[in-house]
Formats: sequence, C-alpha cells, structure tokens
Amino acid sequence: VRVRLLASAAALGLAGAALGALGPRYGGELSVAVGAFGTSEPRAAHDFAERLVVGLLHETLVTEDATGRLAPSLAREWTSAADGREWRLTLDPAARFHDGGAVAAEDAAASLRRFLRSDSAAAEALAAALDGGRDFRAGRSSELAGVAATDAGQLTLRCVSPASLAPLASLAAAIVDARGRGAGPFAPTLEVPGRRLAARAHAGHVRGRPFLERALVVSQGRAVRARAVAEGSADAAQVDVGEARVRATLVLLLDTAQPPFDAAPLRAAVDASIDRLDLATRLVEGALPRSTLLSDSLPPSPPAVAQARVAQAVALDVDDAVPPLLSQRVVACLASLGLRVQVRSAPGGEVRRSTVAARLLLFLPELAEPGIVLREAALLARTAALAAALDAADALADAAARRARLRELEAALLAERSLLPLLSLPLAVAVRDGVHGLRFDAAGRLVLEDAWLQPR
Amino acid sequence: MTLRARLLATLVACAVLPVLGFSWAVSARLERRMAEAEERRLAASAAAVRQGIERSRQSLERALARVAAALSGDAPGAGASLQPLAEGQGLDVLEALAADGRLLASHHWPAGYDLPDDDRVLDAELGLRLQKIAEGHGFVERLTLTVERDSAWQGRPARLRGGVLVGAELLAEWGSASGADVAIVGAGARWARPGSPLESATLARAEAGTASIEPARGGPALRWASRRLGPQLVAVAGVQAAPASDAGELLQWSLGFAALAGLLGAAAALALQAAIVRPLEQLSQAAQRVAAGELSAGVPVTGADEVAELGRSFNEMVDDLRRAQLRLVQAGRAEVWRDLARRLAHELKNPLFPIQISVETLRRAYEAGGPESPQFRGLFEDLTATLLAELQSLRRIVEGFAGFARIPEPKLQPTDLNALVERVLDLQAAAAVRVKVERSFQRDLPPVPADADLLARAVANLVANAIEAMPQGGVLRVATRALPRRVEIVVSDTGPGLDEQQKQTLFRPYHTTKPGGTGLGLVIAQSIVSDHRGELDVQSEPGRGATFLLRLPLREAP
Repeated sequence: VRVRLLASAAALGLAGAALGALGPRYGGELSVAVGAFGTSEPRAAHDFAERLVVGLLHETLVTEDATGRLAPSLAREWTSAADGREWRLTLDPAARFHDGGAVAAEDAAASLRRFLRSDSAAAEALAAALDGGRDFRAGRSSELAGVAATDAGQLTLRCVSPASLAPLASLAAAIVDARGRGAGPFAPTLEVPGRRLAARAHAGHVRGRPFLERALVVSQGRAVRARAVAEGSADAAQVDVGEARVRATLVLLLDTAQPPFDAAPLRAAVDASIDRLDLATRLVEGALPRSTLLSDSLPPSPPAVAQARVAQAVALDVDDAVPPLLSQRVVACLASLGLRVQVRSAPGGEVRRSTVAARLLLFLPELAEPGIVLREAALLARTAALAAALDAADALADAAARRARLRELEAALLAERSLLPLLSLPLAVAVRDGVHGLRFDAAGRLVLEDAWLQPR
Repeated sequence: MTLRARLLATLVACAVLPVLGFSWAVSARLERRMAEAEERRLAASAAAVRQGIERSRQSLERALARVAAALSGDAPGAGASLQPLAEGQGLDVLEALAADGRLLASHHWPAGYDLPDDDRVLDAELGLRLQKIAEGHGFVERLTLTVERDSAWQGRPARLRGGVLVGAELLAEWGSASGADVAIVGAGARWARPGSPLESATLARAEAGTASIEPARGGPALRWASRRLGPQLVAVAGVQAAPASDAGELLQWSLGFAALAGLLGAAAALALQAAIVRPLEQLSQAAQRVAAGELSAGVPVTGADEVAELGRSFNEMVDDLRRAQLRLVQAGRAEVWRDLARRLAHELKNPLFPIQISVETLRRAYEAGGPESPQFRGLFEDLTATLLAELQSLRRIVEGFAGFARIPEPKLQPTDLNALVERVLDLQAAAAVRVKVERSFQRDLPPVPADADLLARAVANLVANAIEAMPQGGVLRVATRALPRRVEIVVSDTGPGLDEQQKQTLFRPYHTTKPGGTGLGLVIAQSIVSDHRGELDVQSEPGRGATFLLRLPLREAP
C-alpha cells in the first residue's frame, strides 16, 4: 500500500509540474492582501496598495518599461516635432474602456486636463512645459492651448520648451471616459473604498485580456498579512520580509516652517542622531542605508554632530507601512535629544498631507524619472523655491546637463535637512506556490495583468 | 380631610414613625462605628502595600539572579538574547546597561540600544521607575517595579535591570490581604486597576497620608486611606462604602418592619371605623334627612357605648320634633279655619246688608201703594237689579270657597317643570297681550315629584297675578333653576310692587287689592305648594315690581 501511495503522490507531483510547465492558463481568481488604500480613482498613488488598486483598473497613455524608458500603452505611437516642443500621440484603436467604448482622443484630452490640476509632481512637470499649462494648473485660466484632440485617434501636446512625455506614465494621468470608467486590465465589480476591491478581467484591454478571470484586493492589518499566504487566506500578500523587487526610501520630514525644526541646528542634530548604517544592519532584514533620493547622486555631506538637548514636545506622524522597530528607533533617537515625541500612526497618504512638525514615511516615487522624483520630494518637503529651478532643469535639452543640474538640486534639497532619506527598504510580496507571472513595473507597481494560476 | 382619613393617618403614623426613628438612630450609630473600623483597616491596607512591594522585590531579585547566571560566561545560555530570558522568568522589563549608563540591550524597548538610560526614577529605594515600553510606532512610559544587579552582557561587564509592570495584577496582589483596591499616587500621576473606583476618584490630599470618604458617580461612596511610600509616592487603599452595608441592611429591615406596622395600623383603623365612624356617618346622614324635613329618619342603635347613647338621643330628638310639628300643624289648621270663617262671615255680610235694605225698601213701597203704584214700580227695577248683583256676589264667594275647599291631595309623579311652565305660559298668552314675556329655563333641570295639574294651577295663579299687576303693560320674567336638593320657579313682574303690609296679608284668604278679586288665588297657590312640601315666597318693594319664588323638593317626602 505504501508503495502504491508513494507512486500516486509522485504521479500527482509530476502531473502538477507538467501543468505548470505548460504555460499560462486563463481563469481563476487571485486574492491579494495589502495595507490600507483609498478609492480607485486615478491619482498619484504613493504606496504599494494604492498603486496596485489604481493600476488594476486604469491605464495610461504611455508606461515606463523595466529600464525606465517609455513604452506604448493606450497610445500606440508618438512623434515629436518643433525640436521636441510638440508631440503627436496616436491612440491604439483596440483600446476600450470597461463598457466597451473606444478610448478617444477627447477622453484623453479631458483626462489630461484633470491630471494637470491634481497634486501630482508629474503634473507639475508637464504643466511647466505645456503651452498655457502653468495658468491652467494654477486655475488662472480655463484655456489649455497645449492639449488638443486633433481627431478621434490623435492627441497633440504643444510645449513652450522641449519636454519629455514621462509625466504621462503617472497613474494620476490615467485615461477615463466621461463617466469615470477606466481602461485598465480589470473592470471593477464591487468596491468598498479602502477595504475591498473585486474586479473581473477586461477583454478590451489594450494589451489583451488578462489571464486571471477575477482579482480581489483586500485591506488587512500587518499581522494578518504576515500569515495570510501561509494560512491560505490570500494568494499574495504585502509583507515586511520576503523576496523583494521594489525598494522604497524611508524618509524623515522635518517642517522648517514651525518649531522646533525651524532651527537648522536641531535639524542637523536629528540628522546626526540617526545612524543609518546601524538601522540597516541591526533592525530590518534587507534594508540599506541611504542618504540620497536619486540612486546615482553624489554622497551626502557629512552629518553634523548633535550638540544640545531640546526639551520640547513634538508631534510625529508615522506611515503605518513603516516597520515598527524602525519607527521606534527614530523616536528613540529624537527622544535622546530631549524631544518629547507624540507619535500618531496613519496611512501613508494621510501622513503626506499632515501638517505636523515631523513625519516619517515610505517614499515610493510616482515615477522613477529623476526630475519627477525631485519634484515630488520638494513637494513633500514643502520647499517651493525648488520648483522654478526644476522647471529650468527640465527645459535643458542636453540630457547630461539636465542630469548634472538635477544632482545639484538634490544636494541643495538635502542640505536643508527638511527631508532626510534614511534607509532603502524592500517592499516584499509573499506569494503562494502556483501563482505565476506577478511582476513589478519600473515605478514599483505590482502588476497582475500577466499573472496566472497553476491548476491545483 | 374626613374623620375616616384622619383616623387612618393617625394610626399609621403612630405605628410607623417610632419604628423608623428607632431604626435610623441605631443604623446611624452602627454605620459610624463600622466606618471607624473600616478606616483603621484601610490605613493598615495602605501600609501593607510597602510590604507587598518588598515581597515582590525579593521575588524579582531571585528571577534576575537566574537571568544573570544565564548570561554569565560559564553558563550554557551565555550570549542569549534578552527576550527568551525575560519571558522565561516572567519579567516584563529586562535590560542591560553599560558602565557609562548607556543601554546595551533591552527586551521591552529594543529600539533604545546605545542610548542613555534616561528613564525617570520615582523611588530609588523601592525601585519604582517610569520605563519606556515599546508600543506601536513609539513607546509609552509605564510604572515598573525593578531590581538591579551586576552581571555581564556579551562578555562585557554590565548592570542588569529586571522588573514587572505595576498593573492591575500586581496592585491586586498588594491589596489582596485586606480585600481593598490599591493605587499608587504621586509625581502628578496615578496607577490604579482599570475600572477601579480609585481610578476616577478625587483622592484630595492623598499625598498627606489622610483618610476620606467621597461620593462616587452612580454608585456607592468610596472610602479610602493613604500611607506614604517614599518622597514622591503614596499608597492608597479604598473600598466602596462597605461599612454602610450592614447599617443599610438594618435600615432596610426597619423599613420592612415600618411597612408591616403601617399595614397593621391601617387594619386597626378599619376596625375602629366600623365601630365609631360608621355609626357617626349614619347619624350624619339621618341628620341631613331630618334637615330636609324627613322627620321619620332615625338611626339603628346597638350596644351601650357612648356612640350608641348618641344615636339613642338623636332618635328621641327626632321623635320630639315629629310630635311638636304635629301639634303645630293641628294648631295651625284650627287657626286657619277660624280666620277663614271670620273672613267668610265678613265677606258674606257685605252683600247681605244691601239685600236686606233693598227688600225692606221694596216692601215698604208695596205696602204704601200696592204693586201698581208708580213708586213701587219705580223702585222695583232698581232694587231687584241690586238684589241680583249682590246675590251674584254671594254666589261667587261661595263658589270660590268651594273651590278652595275642593283642592285634592296631590298625586306625585316625576314632572318636567320646564314643560309645565311653558304650557302655562301658552295658556296665559291671550291675557298677556300688553306684556312682554321673557323665559329663562335651566336646560338640565331634574324631574320633580309633583301633581302636574295642581302645580300648573298654582303657577297659573302666579302668572295671572303678575299679568294683572301690569294692566298698562310691562315685562313678565319666568325662570326655572336647580338649587341644592330643590328646584325653583321664579315669576316676576314690573308692576307697582308691594309694601310690607301688603306682603304680610298677601296669602290671607279673601284679601285682595284688585277690583273683582276673590282673594283666594295666592292662597290656593300656597296651599298647593304646601301640599307638595314646597315653599312660596315673595320679594318686592313698592314701585319695583314683585317676584314670587316657588321652591319644590327634589325628592318625594315619605
């Protein structure tokens, strides 16, 4: 009997392996447990869960490929003219919204108008380049000469200076129809904002119907997520420790406009009190010390030495996606300076908008493009003076010169110590056996459209 | 308040108040004594907290010694992390400190490594400290009881500190000997069992080592006492109004007894009222019937006590009254008949004299000249006319008297007075051509026991009398209204009115101020009203009209 059982098990195992080797299968439901998320409307989603939800339902005109270069999406192709000051984008005629309606240039133009007035750093970069973009974004004008639907399938962007199409890859620039329907790989069937999103495969997706029949995204607490895959309650889950292909930057934001961090020596003391190498090596597996935002930027200036103790109360809002041991250490470092820290934990989006004196959050840039990363960092640090310099850098036609200028601007931003990069943290996803094709895109977004399930 | 109610209240009060007063006095004294005993017990409990702390410290020192042994280089567990050691020894707090005061490692605050040990010491002697404990993304400061000893950490000399959180469990342990709730107060904070009354109580001047009692919202009062633990901290022991419970129980028993006494008092009052109040009520009802003219009313008399004697005297008094009334009636009837005969004789004499003169004159004329003589013939016509007129007068007097004498006994039936008066006014309408008639009838007038024909005759006499008093016209007002136990018919006119002498002679037979009147109309009316056991009265002043008030009893007399 034992021999027969072993033989049966071996046969089943071989059959499973053979099925997996046969390649992608259509059908099935994939459930993903993530942290808190908001609605699924297009916006500059800044954390893992929001990017997943928005990206599931929406599609942009262009995307960033694994190397960071632009790739076609709803726009099949594009051409430039007038020395890079005009772009003509041709829409893919196969692209369909979730109700089956064709994605038209008018929809794209309307969506870009909405995008330009959003709080996205990418929108700021595009508005700075578009003809009439600044006035339109600031609400001073309802006219936007820089965006026009030439015909049903062609969109024209006119700029005042040579510009990149990179901002169009932001999820905030996703295209929706007049009723808010998206053109993403999945169409929503049930949405409980912030808690649960169920979606079915969209047959009219521009890159074809996804393999999965259904996708389910559920918001869970950190402890539940950690054991969700092992217990079988989810097929994939956002976890603190695991194989990771995306890294986020842990940043400490100190508000220079209000006490006690309006004093530059205290900001320097805070910077000096946090030993990044120590954090990376002792507290979180897979973390790396980091004191810059752009990977190829210059090393930061040497930290100042903490001097005096400051006996003041200070409020610190912490992104609840930050591993607690890290935030506790940062709090301990601040307390060692005499500060009485009042900690509040909140979702990342809320911490970004918070106006308290100190914030600790995971920085996952809207797009990997260096200029947009710096714009977003400047918005976070509320250093408005950097915007004009970034506009000027973006207008540089020479890519090397632009990159050099961006490095200088980053150094200036970091020298102010209103934004302190601390660590590079892995964003890990635990996946059960039999789930294939899950991947992260260049912007660190978990993509489900190529995922498929091996039959059990 | 009725006699019955007064009697009931008096007896119940007499039964209940002494019981209540006694119980209150006893329970107050008992409560005071028990409160004093409880206060002594609480003070002892607060003092015992220090002993509890000492016991806990001894236990902690033993546990920390085992941890130190595990960390020492010779022991097999050397180099182990603090977490399993702390959990193995039941320590909430375990940390290793360098000689310069830096934190080398911490079980309860792992993020604090390499930082100075700046936790706040509340009592160095007892080892009570505010320790940072990791919680969420930061830390909280919690009161801990700690002990320290020299040891080693990863091969280097270190100072070990271990302890436990001062929470509900430990506070309960320290207060378990007395059964009181225990809290620690000081340094601007308070540590008490969650949900304990000590958690929200005021505890005013607790630092001074006092005792007090204070009301608790929505529950029994809190009694507490405090004893100083050290320079900054005091221990407080408290209970929720336990001393009052026995006294309260006594008071509850007393209330029960008072309620029972009240019931017995009420029963006694009911028995007494059967013996006293009921005969008195019967006497009161009989007196009211006598006052209404029912002289046959009496009360049943049984026994020989004072109440029975009172009933007996009442019955004798009613008998005396009945006999006296009978005598009065008989005397009154004789007087009336004598007066009637005198007046009848007087009335009869008036026409007889002219008749006599006329017959004598006619006879003399016949004897003087014969029947054919002119003198006789001349007188014959005049004198026979006089004779006929006077005879007519005699006849009217006799018929009137006969009518007065023929008034039958009334046959009483429930009668609607409004309808009766309305009918009379309709019959008299022809005579009242110059008179304006105003009616004012009470709508819900109860039926009256009356002989409708006789009473209509009486009312008709009053109405006719009023109309005749206004030959030149005027206003006749007729009203009906209900009075207590009676009804009233009011007939008033705007005629010349009556002076005092006229009012006194108004109801005498054959007394009239009207030419051709018999003087019997009002007499007959009064006779009919009397036969109904009613009253007929007149109110008048000269020049201001006259008002006749006819009142009848609502209940038929036996």
